[in-house]
Amino acid sequence: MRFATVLLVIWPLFLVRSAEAQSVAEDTEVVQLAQRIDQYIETARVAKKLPKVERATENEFFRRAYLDLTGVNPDAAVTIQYLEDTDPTKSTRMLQEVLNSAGFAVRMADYWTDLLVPDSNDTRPAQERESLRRWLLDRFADNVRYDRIVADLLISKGDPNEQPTAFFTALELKPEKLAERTSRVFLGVALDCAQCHDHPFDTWKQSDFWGVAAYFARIQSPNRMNNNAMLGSGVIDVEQGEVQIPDTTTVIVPKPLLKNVESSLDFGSRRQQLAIWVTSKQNPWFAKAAVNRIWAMLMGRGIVEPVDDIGAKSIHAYPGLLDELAIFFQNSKFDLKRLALAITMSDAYAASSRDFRETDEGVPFASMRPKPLTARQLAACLRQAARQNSPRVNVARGNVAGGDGDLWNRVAVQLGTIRGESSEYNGGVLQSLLLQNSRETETLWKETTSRLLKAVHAPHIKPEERLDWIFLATLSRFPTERERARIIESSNGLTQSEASEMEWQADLLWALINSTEFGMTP
Amino acid sequence: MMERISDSAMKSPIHLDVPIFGRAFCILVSILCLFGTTGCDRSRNAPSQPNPILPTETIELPKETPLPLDPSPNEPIESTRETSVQNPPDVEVAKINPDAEPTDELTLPRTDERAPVEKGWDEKVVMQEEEAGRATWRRYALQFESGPMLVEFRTSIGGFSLPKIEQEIRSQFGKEVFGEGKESGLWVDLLEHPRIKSGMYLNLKGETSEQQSQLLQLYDRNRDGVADSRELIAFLTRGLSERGGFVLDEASRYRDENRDRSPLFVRLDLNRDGILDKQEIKKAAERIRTMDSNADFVLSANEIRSLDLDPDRYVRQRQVSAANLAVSVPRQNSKDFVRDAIAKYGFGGEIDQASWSGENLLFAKLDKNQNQSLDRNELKEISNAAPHLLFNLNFDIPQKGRGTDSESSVHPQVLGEKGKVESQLIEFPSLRIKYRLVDEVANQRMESRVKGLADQLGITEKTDLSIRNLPNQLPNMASLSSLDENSDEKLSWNELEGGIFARATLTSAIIRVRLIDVPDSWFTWLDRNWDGVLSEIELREVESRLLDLSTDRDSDLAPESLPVQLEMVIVRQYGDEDPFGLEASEVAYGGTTLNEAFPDWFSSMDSNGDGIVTSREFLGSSESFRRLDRDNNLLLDSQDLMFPR
Repeated sequence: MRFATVLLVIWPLFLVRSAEAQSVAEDTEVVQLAQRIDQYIETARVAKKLPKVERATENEFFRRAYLDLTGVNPDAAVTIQYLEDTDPTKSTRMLQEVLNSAGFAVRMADYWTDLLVPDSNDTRPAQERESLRRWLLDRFADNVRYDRIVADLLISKGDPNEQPTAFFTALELKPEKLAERTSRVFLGVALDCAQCHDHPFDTWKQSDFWGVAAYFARIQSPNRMNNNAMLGSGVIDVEQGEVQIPDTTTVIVPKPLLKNVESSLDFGSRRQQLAIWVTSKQNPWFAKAAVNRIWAMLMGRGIVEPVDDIGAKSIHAYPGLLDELAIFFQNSKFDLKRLALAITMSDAYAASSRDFRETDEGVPFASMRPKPLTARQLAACLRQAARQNSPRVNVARGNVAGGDGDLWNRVAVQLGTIRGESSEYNGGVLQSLLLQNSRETETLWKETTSRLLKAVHAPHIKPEERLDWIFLATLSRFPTERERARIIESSNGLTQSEASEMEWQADLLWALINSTEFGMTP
Repeated sequence: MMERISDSAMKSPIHLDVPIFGRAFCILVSILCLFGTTGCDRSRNAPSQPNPILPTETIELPKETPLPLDPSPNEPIESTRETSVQNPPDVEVAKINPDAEPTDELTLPRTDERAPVEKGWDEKVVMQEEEAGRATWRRYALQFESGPMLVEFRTSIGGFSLPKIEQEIRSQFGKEVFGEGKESGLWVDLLEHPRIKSGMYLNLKGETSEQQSQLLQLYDRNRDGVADSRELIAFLTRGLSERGGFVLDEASRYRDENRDRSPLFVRLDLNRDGILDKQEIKKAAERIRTMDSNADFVLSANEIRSLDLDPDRYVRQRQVSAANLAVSVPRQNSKDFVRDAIAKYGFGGEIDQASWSGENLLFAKLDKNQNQSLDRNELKEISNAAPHLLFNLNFDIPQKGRGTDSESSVHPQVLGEKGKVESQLIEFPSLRIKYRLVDEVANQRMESRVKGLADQLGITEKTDLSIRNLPNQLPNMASLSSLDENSDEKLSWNELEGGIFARATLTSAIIRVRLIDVPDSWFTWLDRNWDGVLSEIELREVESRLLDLSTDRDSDLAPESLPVQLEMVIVRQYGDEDPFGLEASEVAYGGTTLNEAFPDWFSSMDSNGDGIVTSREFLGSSESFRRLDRDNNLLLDSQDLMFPR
């Protein structure tokens, strides 16, 4: 094999392995939970007498894990190193390393920022959104427990340019909007249907909705306090403020969503009271909602769908499994890394997506659902293929890395307006046009500008190896023999000069980034 | 920090406080008293006058006698936060209330009451300790044959001691001040010593009013009895302004605030106790990696700065803190210019008094190629924007000590079409200056002007122009005949180019100096090549570099452990073109690291643009990587490419 000897040394992402990560490897609870996941699915499969689904190939699993956990394809050198590794425990080790990398923190920060302040609804300045993302990133990087993050977020105050209050300012500090978003994101409860009337299908009453909204009744913008018409300069707690059911004079007092949860009404601000019961261990919705979201992020869809409505009437694939995962999450001090590790260590996560059937024939997650890349993932993969990881910004001008000035970030924002985290493919025409014809992507593949093509034409890379590196840099795999033969055949006569060789390689690169494989998590 | 030090010193009987440069460890040393030198002639060349008071004016320094507080090299240095340095048996220790009036304890014995002559640093030491803020000061009154000397220095910052300072004083004082092998000297020698005159090393405190006055005049511009960092800057730049130097405007106030709230320091201080302890230093690199918000494996200033969630503030404050000054050098003929330039700008400690007045010696020094004439390059060097700075700051900074990157390294930058920047790092124990000189702006313009004129006159490198029948005056430049150096009535390309350059150099120069306080000192400290990002190489050095700051490599770090860091950006322009066309901040940050030498494939593989290709970024076999990685540091950089195997 041409790459019998490959890179033995690798960027210290893998050096950033903490003692914590190593201890997780011996964490029997994590291993047992992974086995329990498989038991649930295997039991259902056997009952349905369905054939066992094959495991994903090493390539597929590796790329899947990287895309799911860091939001971007693995670098070519990292892929080679993984494939050459003969250690039988390499997959677990790799998962631990990725979970402890900055990439996972970035992925989590992006994911929760998108949930809290979706692009499509975001009318706030980008800086506010970025501030929230940075705040989250800082905490995920430190692996701060999830309940602590949520609590801190719910009681945050101050300027959204400096504090994570974009969540409040993006929703204009309106109690009803904040109640709806809080319950959906953090509790998995679609309470908004009860805003105007009692929920038609679920148990929620109108008073339940406004009872949650009342927790947000005593916040204001400082500028509003000063009679300044301009809103959005921050969040402060005030002493007064109530909510009324619309078109009535009925004042609703704050009320926890669940009766068995302590309300702690005796002290603190209303938002503090809210944070206490939302993140309480007695609140089953909190852990379940988080677990279901992480599951959906990794497996393509939630154990309960839709993920932001896990009420009694929702469809539960494996109710017992969700409970077990939630208990594990609580007992592990709401450690998202530990939860993600358990899920990704399961055979279900490693199942091949080649034979995926939409109906699952009654056995959800028996095979892996191919997931279209989210807008952020796609932009990150394009940036990586363009080999433009870090657009230099002018510090003196105060540009923020990853801000509006960043080409690939703009691409993500463009795509983000029509795409969510759903596993349904909805990239649509805009994505196709962007990838096929846009000036943004042209620099990526065109022979005169493509950094990847210039890189593979380094003197130390033999001409016959260039094809391999192009595939590795885009699809994280070598070309199959069939692909290789077809490509060589179609390029016949075009490799006489370096210029003509780069031309057909540019065509190849264009085809690869426009392929379904590039746009999907296997 | 400087202010703090000054405050404390002002409350002490030793009311002169001067910022210190020089040895890498020495933070502040004041030699309070050498015996009276009333009537002493300061001229080095003048014969020493016998001092009616002193039996001798020589200062005897001990040989190899350890300071009483100098820890044994074999003994581990104890955690200084918990324990103070042991007192020697014959040291009297007294705690001083900083707010108390000066006591008599520090009043040195009058000469006629002087104790019997004794030798040795550790003999008859009177020590006092004073706490001021987070710093601890210690003073030794040392007895020498020549009389008592008071040495004052800070022994701890934020609770950790600086034992090496003491060692430094002992081992270096003699040879640094008096020269290698000499252990005694005259008071006047001290005053006249170039290192002291230029603020590089020890700062002296004379006992007599005359001595004090002499020292204060070196630094103390506002005559408040304290020479602080602002005055230091003014002193360093004194040749650049007719007003006698530049004053750091708002910067020092901003600096202290900024340093205390460095976003990077805050993030590294995991337990939020305001100090980086050993564990936190050990985890620092890993912690910084987690701040990589776009997961590109390189840390930009913005990524770290924005943790403070208001990156714009730094830009604003930078603008506020920038001092903006201009100097105009009037037209002179070359001979006068040389003389005036020397007289005006001086050469710091490089040319002694005798040389100043001896034109022949001066000429010889300027005539670098010793061809008995000063050509345009030599003139250009003289008329450089900041000759004083160049000479003065390029002192041979001792390399021993805490092992920082104190070498004056050059980092070329390019600024688009505007020119080239040469940067140098000048590092003192308490101050670190990035000195950037935009040097090529004028040259590029001048080259363009030469080319334009040559085209206009029909001169090429091979074709001379006969000037006999041509109008003599060139627009705004010079007469053609004046350019005809060999008087052959022909103007060659070389004559045209040399003449225009020489005259343009002398015509006028507008020098723009900006002093910019570093926005996040801790980030800048770690960003060794000042490219605005922490690359893999720099990340690998984080622990070591932080330990370097901890003088004994075993102590905690407080925000003020870091030297004050300033950027001095000097933009030079000639002629009547817009002198403010180039922003100093653009020079400081707008440029990109010079990477023209990188081949395409290398720049393309360097996906995060940090000038380094890591093994992760590399495309190719491991054999290729190892072959290219000449220094086996698992990274490919320009050095590897320059000297491939």
